[in-house]
Amino acid sequence: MGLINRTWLNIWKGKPPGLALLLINLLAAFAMVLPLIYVLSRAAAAPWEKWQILFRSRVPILMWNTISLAVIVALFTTILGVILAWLIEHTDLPWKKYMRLLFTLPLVFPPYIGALTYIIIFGKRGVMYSLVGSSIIDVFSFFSVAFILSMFTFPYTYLTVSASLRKISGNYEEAGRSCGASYSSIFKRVMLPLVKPAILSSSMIILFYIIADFGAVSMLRYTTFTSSIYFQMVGKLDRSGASILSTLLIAFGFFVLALKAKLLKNNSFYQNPKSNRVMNPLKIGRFKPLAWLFILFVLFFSLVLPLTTLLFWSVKAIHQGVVGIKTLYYIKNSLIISVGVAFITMALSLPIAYMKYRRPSKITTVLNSFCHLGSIVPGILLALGIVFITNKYLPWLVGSQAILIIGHSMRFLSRNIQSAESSMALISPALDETAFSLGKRFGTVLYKVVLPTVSPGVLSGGAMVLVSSLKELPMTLMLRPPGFDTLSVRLWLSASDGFYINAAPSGLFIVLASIIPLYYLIKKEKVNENGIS
Amino acid sequence: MKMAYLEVKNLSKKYNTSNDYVLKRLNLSIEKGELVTLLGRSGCGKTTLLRILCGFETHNKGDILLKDKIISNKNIWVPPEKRNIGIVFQDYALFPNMTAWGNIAFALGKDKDKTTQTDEMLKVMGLYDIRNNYPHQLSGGQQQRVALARALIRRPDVLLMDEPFSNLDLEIREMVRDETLKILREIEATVIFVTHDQMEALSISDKIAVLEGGKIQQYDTPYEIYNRPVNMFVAEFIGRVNILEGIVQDPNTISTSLGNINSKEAIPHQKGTRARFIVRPEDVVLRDAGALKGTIIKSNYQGSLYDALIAADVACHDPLYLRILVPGSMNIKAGDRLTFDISIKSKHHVFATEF
Repeated sequence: MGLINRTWLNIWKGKPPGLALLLINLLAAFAMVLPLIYVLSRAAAAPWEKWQILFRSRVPILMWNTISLAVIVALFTTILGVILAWLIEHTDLPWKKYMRLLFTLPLVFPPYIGALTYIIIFGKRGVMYSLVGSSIIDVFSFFSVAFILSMFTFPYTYLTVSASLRKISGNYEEAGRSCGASYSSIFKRVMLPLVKPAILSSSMIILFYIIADFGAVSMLRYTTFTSSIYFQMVGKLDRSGASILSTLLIAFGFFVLALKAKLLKNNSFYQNPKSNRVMNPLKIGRFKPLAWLFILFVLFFSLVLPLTTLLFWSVKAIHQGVVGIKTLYYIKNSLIISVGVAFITMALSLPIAYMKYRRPSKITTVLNSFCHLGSIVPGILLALGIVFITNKYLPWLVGSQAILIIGHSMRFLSRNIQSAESSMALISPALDETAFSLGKRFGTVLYKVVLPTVSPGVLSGGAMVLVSSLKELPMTLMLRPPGFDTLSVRLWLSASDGFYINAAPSGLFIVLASIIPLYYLIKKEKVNENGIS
Repeated sequence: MKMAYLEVKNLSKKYNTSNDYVLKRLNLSIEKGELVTLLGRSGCGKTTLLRILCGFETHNKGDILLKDKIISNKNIWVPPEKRNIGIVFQDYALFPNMTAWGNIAFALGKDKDKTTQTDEMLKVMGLYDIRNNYPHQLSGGQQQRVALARALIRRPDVLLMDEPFSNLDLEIREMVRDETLKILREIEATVIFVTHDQMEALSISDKIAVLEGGKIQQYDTPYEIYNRPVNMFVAEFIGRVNILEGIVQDPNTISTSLGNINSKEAIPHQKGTRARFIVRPEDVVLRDAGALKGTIIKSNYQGSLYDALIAADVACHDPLYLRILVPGSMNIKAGDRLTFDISIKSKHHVFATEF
């Protein structure tokens, strides 16, 4: 017994997790990994010739298409998000409150709805064509696709980085100044390293997002792994081919995760929780017009243009009598799923992030990477695995709303954990250790002490998950109970038939519905932030 | 007229969010090598003054001169990084992403002998062994010394310290303070030190500026501040006091509920003036033949002496409570009776009460 105990303690470096914490992490990781095992085993069972054919024909180009797009978008959104976060949080630009809200709003556009509006405007026979006789740009070209995807994903970076910037105490800047350092030197040597975890983590979110995205790339006729897998499976009913491509994608995802873990390892710092004085805004003087130009540019292409397009075409649709009472059912269905999902992922993100930072071990690392699988694994693939497992072992779950909620939770859990983790990284272990020393039980410490301090991260993660679930497409298509139409499913079916006018109202509804939960969660996050400081 | 090393003239400061001035036409001059303490309750404006001196806040009126050059007034504003005024924050504000070495070297910018200078400073401060530790791996005292080293390595003209010892444990507080002062004295630094701890102020300062209501109430040596307070606020704020009220009878007597109290110096107030005066605990003299009697309510034994509270007997009134010091060699307990005498030590201890 003594030996077992000692080994157990050694694994955990003397700090073993409690049973509940371990069980939650184990269950989450186990649930995440099962569907993948199915996909992998299908790939392994595929004949060797099948692999060779794919590698000779499709794989290199798919690899290049996917990686180049994901990297360009991650780069572009990081630049956009960091500049915006810095302008809004650290400079003397006015109306910060409204700008914070405005730059969160593009999140209400799922990239595929954004893509829809760009196709409506800049498409082959689009609005531009009928106005000036030319589409001006090729909306299906690489850089158009990258630009469109960036316009609807940069808020992820902006939100994470600005939350991290707000946490930096004003004392650091002043201490730097009194050491004779200029603002730019302090920015480079102190602030940038402090927000680096947030930047890295959010650029990884974007990377995974683009890799896993199905709706927008397929709508913009850009072939990546996901759309290729989808058509391999749905079009050609080639399950082993889809499994092989999926295996490659999973390997790629693991590589990026390992890279991320390595990058973040040496980049997290404990900031003194006592020092949270707000920084004095930097006066940018003559650069103000330039800053405004930048802000208006981003706002126009990420918000004004898509919104007016959707509104205009929705009004057109109503005039033509396309919108009916059925639309209300789609809305209700969408909400049932996404609210349930957000609650599940928020509740789970806390124990998982806590485990990562407070009970580090090899076991933790493995479990944690499993929990992040949802962000590497495209929904279509996860859905495939889930369908197989439920069909075989849990037939009573097949075609239920519960399986749709579980599936979405698995898909978006990672997003919530990442956000919780970047908050967790800034909090000193002394905080919860103090609570334990006061004789508090684990659950009490986790939800009364740790949660309030990481709640900005958990909540903004929850906001992201809620909105994401509302927009989710491929998984909903695969897992929905028969006849259970959500807004996104309706939109997709209309648009794929080329009835853009039918697609616009559903798109507008998704966009409008996304505003409400986003608004409340942002508001709550603000209250909590003020409450702490 | 010769200017002082650091000169603050008619400084006024109002925050945009408030209607009241935090600092009201404040004047302060500091000589080179002096250690001046800004002493006041929280919210009295002492931290604001410090931040204005650093250049972190702007002020509304007045001038600040350092070495005869204006560093801040209506027309001139030297940015913080150009002032060569060092600061040690209350929370130290060590950069969390840099080691102890990195934090100190940061202040040197691109100096050629940065490594040598930093190493030397680390050795002077006794930090060399922990130079590769990050702030969260350092004890409070070590963090404090790193912050001090970072501020000192540029040889600032003035060093500002905002309650630098308040985050330290009591046991090490005095030790760290003594070491810090030794270093500061050795390099003859000009230091402005902010605190709300009056005992700390009395023990370390060359001069104390007592700040209240946005104004400096008194600016003098600790001896003068303690023994010759200029007003009731200073008298009450510095050290422990008993406050008594009475009416001036003649230049040497005030009548109170305890009877007539004699003054050793002539009181500069007319007969019949209502006055308040202070009697320090150490000025209550225990004597068998004392004119006053009282009962011990509670006592706090500190070995060499007792810090005791007594209820003095007062004819047809509620008892009057007095703090007194009793020699530690006496064996006393609550309920014991004592006889004692009270006198007014100085004319600076009597203040006319305004109606």
